[in-house]
Amino acid sequence: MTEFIFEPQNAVLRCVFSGRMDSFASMEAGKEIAARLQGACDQVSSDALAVVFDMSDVNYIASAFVRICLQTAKSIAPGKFSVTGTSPFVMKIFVMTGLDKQLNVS
Amino acid sequence: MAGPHDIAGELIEKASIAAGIYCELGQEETDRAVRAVYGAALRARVRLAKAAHEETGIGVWQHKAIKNTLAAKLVYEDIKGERTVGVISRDEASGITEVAQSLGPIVAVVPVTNPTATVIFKSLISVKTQNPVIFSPHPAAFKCTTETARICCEAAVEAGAPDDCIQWTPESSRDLTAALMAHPRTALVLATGGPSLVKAAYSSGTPAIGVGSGNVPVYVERTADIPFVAENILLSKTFDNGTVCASEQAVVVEEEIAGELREEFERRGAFFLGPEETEKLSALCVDSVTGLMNPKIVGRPAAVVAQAAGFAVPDGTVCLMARQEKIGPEHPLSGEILAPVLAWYVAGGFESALKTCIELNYRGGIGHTASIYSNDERRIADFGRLMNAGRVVVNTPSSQGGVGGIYNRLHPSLTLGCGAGGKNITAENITARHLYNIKRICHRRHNERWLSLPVEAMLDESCDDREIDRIYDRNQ
Repeated sequence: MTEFIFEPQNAVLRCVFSGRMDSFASMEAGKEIAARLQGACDQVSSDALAVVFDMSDVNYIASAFVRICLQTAKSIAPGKFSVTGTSPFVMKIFVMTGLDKQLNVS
Repeated sequence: MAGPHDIAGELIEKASIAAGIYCELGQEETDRAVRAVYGAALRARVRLAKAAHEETGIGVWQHKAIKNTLAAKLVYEDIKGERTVGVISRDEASGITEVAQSLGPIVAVVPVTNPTATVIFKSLISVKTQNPVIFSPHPAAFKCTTETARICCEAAVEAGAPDDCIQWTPESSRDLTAALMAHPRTALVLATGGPSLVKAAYSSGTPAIGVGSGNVPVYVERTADIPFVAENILLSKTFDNGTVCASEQAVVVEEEIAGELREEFERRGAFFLGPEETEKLSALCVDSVTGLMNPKIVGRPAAVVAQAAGFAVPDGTVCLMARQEKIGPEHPLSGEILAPVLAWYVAGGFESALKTCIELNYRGGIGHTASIYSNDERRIADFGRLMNAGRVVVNTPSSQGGVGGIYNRLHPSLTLGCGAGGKNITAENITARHLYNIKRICHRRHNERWLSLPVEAMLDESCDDREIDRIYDRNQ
């Protein structure tokens, strides 16, 4: 279950994920994210919008989730996407793929 | 004047003849030669250590003498009883007889940081496996390298090994080394050195065993014994002035114990730099254009490094500690520095510390070594699982721990594989076992279960996997 928190005053869309982001959960979240992004862009400039994926409560990610991170990052302005609160195991996946810097993973 | 290809050709020809003559020796004669090399190297250990220090200006001669002793004594003890010639095992049940098969001429590249110990180590494992070896010295360590090779060669030949079982190049030359590595009759390149050398070895077209850079993170977890930690880390990092590739490069300490650990370090001669000093040290240690380590600081004492960087340190300073927040090429002290310099990271807790260690491991040290001080087995297990390292040393000085045989039961070695991450063929400590192939003579032993599976069943598409399993497992 993904929680979405939109702060129009800061132009930030925060997506809070939990549990196992396996292939199915990732695909479902992906659809929701696309819809929320659209909604956010109706309220703030697309250049200003920042998206944060909060992973504090996530213990597993599938390849599909990494793809969603990449897609989301590409759909907004450069440098406006970040992934926070990763566990060491999740962090390692991003480091191994060389995407940790590109996606601002912490 | 003979060019590199001619010289390489001559060396390889002699080595090939030696390889042929080696085949006539049995295990006993081979071991006699190994014993002789060991004895000669051990007797010359101090003289060679002093020669290495005098010629290269790197390290501490007393520590080089210890390295020579380790390379001779521990390596010899590790390999002396191993069967490496002829039949090494026979199993009647399987019908398989294993026979050791030497590889042939080995080209062994020697680093400037450990010239004499590396020659002793590679001579022992080469003679043990009946492989003629040709040493390619680093130009800054040519004399001590070739002198060590000469001592080992004389001892081996006197004990019955073939002439030219150990050779060395008449000069240090990139072209000559490249010609040797690529020679069609070179069987193996044993490349201990920097990344460009290892890449050249793997690109030569000859099978190669290489090494990787070490950017060893040492994680000090909150249950660690703090005075013990400081003692062991400094013992390791100051050994030969930080020239062992497995030495610690960054301390990652949990915030809760950082203050106490700092005090213990300071009590033992570690000096914590201020921001300005850190900046000066960063500029000195790594070339800002090439990103390469400054060779002038490799293996120099802490006080000399500080002076070169342009700041003073108290008398008795043995190691420079530089607080760091980030990791990457823009933060030079977050990478490998083969000198008594340690990066100091303070982490909020276990997870944050692990993430810092992962980054350090992957940026510049992948596959090499990682270190942890902890008394919590679960934390140790988690750390071990996450690090991409051939060696994860626990509660152990990393230099000595990585080399093996002193604080753990790793095979003692001066060539540490870094696995696929480090672009090496293996992640193991290289030893004699890596220098021969095993030939298997296989007598007929039926696989009854396979033979009970009729060909008709294999060709019948309607016969599914369960049916095949049923037939295969019938009457077991």
